[in-house]
Amino acid sequence: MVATFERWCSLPEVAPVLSELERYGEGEPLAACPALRTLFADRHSAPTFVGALVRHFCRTLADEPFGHPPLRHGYERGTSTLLLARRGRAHLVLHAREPGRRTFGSVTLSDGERREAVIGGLARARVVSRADSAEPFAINSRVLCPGSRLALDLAREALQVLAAERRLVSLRLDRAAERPGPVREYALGQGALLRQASGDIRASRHEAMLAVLGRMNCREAVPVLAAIAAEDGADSLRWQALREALALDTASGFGALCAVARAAPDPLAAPATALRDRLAKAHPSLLSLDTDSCLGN
Amino acid sequence: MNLPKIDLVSLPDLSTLTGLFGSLTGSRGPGHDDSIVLLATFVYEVQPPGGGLA
Repeated sequence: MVATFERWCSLPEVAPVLSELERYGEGEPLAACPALRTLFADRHSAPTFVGALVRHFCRTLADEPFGHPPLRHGYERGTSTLLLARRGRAHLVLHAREPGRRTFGSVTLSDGERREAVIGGLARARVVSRADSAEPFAINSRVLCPGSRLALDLAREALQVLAAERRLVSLRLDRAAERPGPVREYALGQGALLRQASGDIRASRHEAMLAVLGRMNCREAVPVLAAIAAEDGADSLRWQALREALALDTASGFGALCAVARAAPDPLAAPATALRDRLAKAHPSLLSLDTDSCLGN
Repeated sequence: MNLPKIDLVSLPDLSTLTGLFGSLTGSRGPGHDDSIVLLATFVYEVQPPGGGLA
């Protein structure tokens, strides 16, 4: 199956796409990637691209019935995905949705962009978009069938498939933002934020690391934590760095907290100021720290 | 200078909590986001074969 996949990758209709995916994943505009762009522009390229993969795998599976495609795959609640390629920030995914109906009370927006080419099936769907009017979201109904093409700014638009009459199969090209903000889930009715999660795997990895450093009582990490808190980065990561620094080394942590509180345009300045004032009130000895004008206001 | 030891749990979180990368995946269908690899790597680094953190 690995050899089969490699043969598919080297096909003349596939190799240029994968090569351009590399550049697209590094930030090149889609317009500068003609083979990749064509997949999501005309009616024939995407079915040809995917059809070649299926034909190759089916032939091999006929000989090796227990063969397993060497591709990441997932299945959940009637939706299955096959990751065909990942290069940098870009993912090329084959996506299938089983027939059935779904209702949505919320919409999830993430920091990225998506192109989608429907290859097979039939479904009733809608594109939910952030609206600039009194209503929090605008809703545009769509019928998805072979030939349907979508281009979504995922930071403000999401596709919701309401009813798949026949299994809906599509090719998706996703690209995350270079420095992705949080993924956010909103209630459709009022537009209230329900939940959010980091959209940046590196920030989450660092957050897990600094939690370990804190549990290890690793005081020598405090300068690094203070530097993370001072850097331009994810708010959640910077705030956790401040918390861990304060718990590990009161003086250095309080200095880092004061520095953030002073940085007025910083989104963390207000919570840092509130925490600084609270700590100074609870522990007056902190006032004796040489923190320049941070408490002077 | 006699400074207080500050307990981590006494320090507030931000008013809007942010889950770790991938923790919203369940609400939007299957994904390919490395969250399980992240978790496995984290566990491995904390407790590698042959002994981890004391």
